[in-house]
Amino acid sequence: MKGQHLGELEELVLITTTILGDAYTVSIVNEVEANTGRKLTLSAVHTVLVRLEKKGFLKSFMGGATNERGGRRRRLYKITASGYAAMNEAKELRTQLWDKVPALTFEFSRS
Amino acid sequence: MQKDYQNPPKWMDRILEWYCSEYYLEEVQGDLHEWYAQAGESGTTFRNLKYLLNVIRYFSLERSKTFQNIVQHPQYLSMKSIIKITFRNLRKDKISGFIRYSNLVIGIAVFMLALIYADYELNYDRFHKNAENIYRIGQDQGGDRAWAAGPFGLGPFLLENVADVKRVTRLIPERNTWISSGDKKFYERDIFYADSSFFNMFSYEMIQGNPKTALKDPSSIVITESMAKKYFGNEDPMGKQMQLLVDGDDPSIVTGVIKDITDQSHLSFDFLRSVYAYGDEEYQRSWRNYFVYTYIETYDNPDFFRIDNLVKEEFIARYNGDDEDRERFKTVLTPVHRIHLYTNQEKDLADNGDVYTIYILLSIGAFVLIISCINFINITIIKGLDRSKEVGLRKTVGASRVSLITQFLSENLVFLLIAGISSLLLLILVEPLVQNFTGKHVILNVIKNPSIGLVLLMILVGLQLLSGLYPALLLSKFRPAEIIHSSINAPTSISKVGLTRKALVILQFSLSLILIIGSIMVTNQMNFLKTKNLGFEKDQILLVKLNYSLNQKIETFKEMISDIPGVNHLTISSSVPGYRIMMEGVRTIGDSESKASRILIVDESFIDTYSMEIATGENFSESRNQTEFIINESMAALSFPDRNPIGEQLIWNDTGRVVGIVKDFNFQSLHTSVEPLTMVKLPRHANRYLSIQFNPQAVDNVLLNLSEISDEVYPNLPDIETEFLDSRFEELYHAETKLQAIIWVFCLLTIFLTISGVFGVASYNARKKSKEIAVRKVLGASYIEMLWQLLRGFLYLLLFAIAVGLPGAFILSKWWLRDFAYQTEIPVLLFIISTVAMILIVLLTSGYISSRTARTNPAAILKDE
Repeated sequence: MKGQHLGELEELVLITTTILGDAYTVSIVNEVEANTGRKLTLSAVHTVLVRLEKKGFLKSFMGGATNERGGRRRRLYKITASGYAAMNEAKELRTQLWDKVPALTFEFSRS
Repeated sequence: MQKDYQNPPKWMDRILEWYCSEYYLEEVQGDLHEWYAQAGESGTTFRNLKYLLNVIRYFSLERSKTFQNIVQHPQYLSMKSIIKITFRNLRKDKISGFIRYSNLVIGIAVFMLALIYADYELNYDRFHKNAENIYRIGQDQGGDRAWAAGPFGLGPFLLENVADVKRVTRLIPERNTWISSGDKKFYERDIFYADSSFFNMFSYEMIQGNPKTALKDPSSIVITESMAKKYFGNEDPMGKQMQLLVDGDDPSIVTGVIKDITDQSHLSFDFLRSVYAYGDEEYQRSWRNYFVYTYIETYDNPDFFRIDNLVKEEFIARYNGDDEDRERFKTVLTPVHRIHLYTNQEKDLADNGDVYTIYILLSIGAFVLIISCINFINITIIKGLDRSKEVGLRKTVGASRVSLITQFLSENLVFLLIAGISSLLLLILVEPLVQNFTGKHVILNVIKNPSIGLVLLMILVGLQLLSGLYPALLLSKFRPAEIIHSSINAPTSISKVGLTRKALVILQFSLSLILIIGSIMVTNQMNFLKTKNLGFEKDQILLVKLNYSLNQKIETFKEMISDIPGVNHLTISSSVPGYRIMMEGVRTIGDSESKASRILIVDESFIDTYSMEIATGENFSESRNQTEFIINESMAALSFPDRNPIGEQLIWNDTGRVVGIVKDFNFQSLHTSVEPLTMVKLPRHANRYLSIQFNPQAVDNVLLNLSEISDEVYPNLPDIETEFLDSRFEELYHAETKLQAIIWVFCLLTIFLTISGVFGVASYNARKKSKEIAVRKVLGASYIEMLWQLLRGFLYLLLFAIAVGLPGAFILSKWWLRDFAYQTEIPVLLFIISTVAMILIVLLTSGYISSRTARTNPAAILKDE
C-alpha cells in the first residue's frame, strides 16, 4: 500500500523510539548519536516523527515539562502495533533478501 | 530556576514564533531550548549561531502558520471530504461516471466552440477605428441583388457634393499577375489599387512608411510584412523596385510596409498600389466603368436619406434614367463590419459568410449543451438513489437539509470543474482541426486566448445552477425513515418527477432523429448535386486562363495545342460554366426594352467542346464571319415568347441573327436555376478562357505537351496556369461539403448523447421495477416477459418522439433545400431507415440495462425486506 513503506531514516527513528519507549525529538537525536555516531538535526527527526504518526506507526501525547525547556511540554511518541509490524516487516524483507545474496569473495587485482 | 539554564537570544525565538503554527510551537520550542541547554559552553556566539541555524531548519510548509490555518480550516476539511466522496462514488460505478463525465465534456466543449467561432465571425472589420462610420456604397437597381461595385466617378462626386461624407476611398482589384524584384519572381493574387486616403480610413497598421502619403505617387506600392520578407528577406524594403508583369516596363517603388492583414477583415490583400496609376484623371472621373468599390467614411449621425437622394439623382442624370429607374434605384450603404456576414451582393470581393450559419451553429451548440446537461442530471439523480441510505443516515445523525444540499452542490461543482478543465484540453486538441477546416485562425487555446477561460467560468456557473440545484434539492428531500425502511424501491417523491423526465427524453429522441435524418438528407443532396447531368460535359475539360501576354500569340498557341494527340476540341470564350458570366441587357429589334441575360462571347467550337445539345437551328460556322447569336431555351422563352427565334435579330454591342437554340444547361451552381443565356460569336475572337476537351486516357500526355508548347511559344513568360473544370465545380459546393462534414460529426455526437440518455432512463426504470420483477419471477414469469415489461415504457416514448421528430425533420429538410434550385426528393425510405436506426439504438441500449435486471436472481433483490 502507498505510504506504508519505511524509509531508511524512518526505520532508524522508529527503532530508536521503540528502544526508548516514550521518546521525543531531543532524546532520539541523542540516542541515535550514541548508538551510531550519526548527528541528526532536530528538524529532520521532527518531520519524520510527524510523518510516522500520520502513517499510524506512532502515537503521541503531550507531557513532561522541564526547566531546561522553559516549562514547555514535550510531545512524546510511542510505537503502535502497526508500527511494530512495519518494523518487523522491514526486517523480514531485509533478511529474506540477505538470504539470497551469494557468498562472494573479492580478489585483489592491480588494474 | 536552575542556574545553568540559559535562554537562547530572544530575537531568535521570535523568528520561530513568527512562522511556526500554534500546533507545533510548544514542543518545537521546548526541544530547541533543551538542545540549547545541552549544547554546553562551547562559546556563546558559536552556540547561538548553531541555534539560529536550527531554528531556520525547522521552517517547513507543514509547520508554517498559513498552511496549518488552511489545513485545519473547517471549510477545507469539508471540501476534502466532499472531493473524497465524489471520487468514491465515481469509482463505485465507472460506466455511469464515464457517461456523465463525457456528456459534460462534450456539451461544454461544443458550446464553447460554437461561442468562440460565432464571436470570431461577428467581429469582422471591427478593428477599424471608425468602423461605425465606414460604409461601402453599392447600388440596387431593381435586379436580383444589389451591386457592390460602382463607377469610378462616384468617389469624387461623393467627396465634392455630399456634406456628410468625410473621406472617400476607392478600391480596385487587379488581376492575378507575376511580380518580380531582383531575381525573385512570384505569381500573386491579392493586389488592389486604392486611393491615398485608404490608410486614413482603415486601421491597417503600418510598420514602415507614412500612412498619409504612402499611396500618393502613382508608382507607389505598399506591401505586407510577409511579402517584404518573401521578396527582400532581411533587407530594408523601402524604396526598392518591384516589377508587375501587367505594367510592362514601369517599375513600382515600395513606399510602405503594413502588418499582414488579419483574417477578420473582408478585404484581403498583399499588395496595395496607388489608384493614380489606374488611368488618367478623366478616366478616374468617368462613370462608364463599373468595377470600383467605393468606401465612404461619414461624420457622426449622417443623413442617409440625403446621401441616397444625391447619389440616386446623379446616377439617373449620368445614365439618362427615367422616372421608373428613379423609382427602382436605391443606394445601398453597408457598414463595413456588416459586409462579412450580412451581405450577398453581386460582384462582392470575397466569399462572405452568412449570419444564419452563425445562428444555426449557436443553436446547435446550445442544443448539445442542453441535451448533455439533461443526461447528466438524469443519471446524477438515478445514481443518487443509490445514496439514499447515505442521505438517510446523515439526516439521522443530524445533518440539516441545507448542509445536504451544500454537499450535493459541492460534489456537482467538483465534477463540473473536472469536466471544464477537460473540455479546455479538448479544445486545445481540436484547435488545428478547426483551423484547418474553417480556414480561419480561430484561437481555441486558453493560454493564448484567456477570454475562453472567462467564458468557461460563466458556463460553469450557469451549469452549476441548472444541473446542480435540481438533483441536490431532490436528493436531500428523502425522509430517513422512508429510505432506511425501503432500501430498493425508489421513494415515492422520486417517481413524481417521471413526467418531466419523460418529456426530456422525448425531446432528446426527436432531436436526435432530426439530426440523423438531416445528415443523411444533406449527403443525399450532395450526391445528387455531384452526379446530376448539367446539360454539358464538365469532366474532361482543362481550362487555361488567358491574359494579355498569352493573347499575343494565341493563334499559334491554339494551332499547336490542337495537334496534341488526345485533344479533341478547344475553344476560346469570355467565360466558362462555373465561373462568373456577365449579365447585361440584350434587346430584340422593335423592342424598346432590353432583357437581362448572361452573355458569353464564344467561338464556333464552343458548343462542341462542351458537348451541348442544340434544340433547334444550327451551330455557329467558321464560314460565316459575322455577329451571330445562339440562345438557350430560357432566353428564347424570355425574349421571343410568341415567335420562333431562329433568324430573328438580337442587339448586344452589335446586331446579329439568332442561328440556334441550345438546350438549357446549368452553367452555374445548382443553387440557381438556369438563367437566360445568350452566346454570341463576334467577327473577332474572344479572349479570356481557353477550354481544352481531351481524351481522359491521354491526360498526362496533354498536360506535358501543353507546358512544352507554352515554353516554346512564350519563351519569356512563366508557366501557364491550368485548371480542371470539374474541380472548379466542386468548389462551388464548398459550403455544402463543409456542412456535410459538420452535420455528420454532430450526428455521431447526438447518437452518443442519446445512448447516454437512454442509459439513464433505462437504469431508472429498471431500478423502479426491480422488486416487481423479482416478485413476478418468483411467481413464474419468464425472462423474455420481464424484458418486455421493461422495454414497453420506452416504446411509448419512442413512438411519441417519432411523431414529433419526423415532421420536424421534414420541415427542416425542406427549409434547407429551399436554397437549391434543384433538389432531391425527400425520400420516404430515408425516413424509415433513420427511424428504424433510432429505434435500434434505443432498444439495444435499454435492452442491455434491462436484461441485467430481468436476469437477476429474485432472491438478491427480495432479501433486503
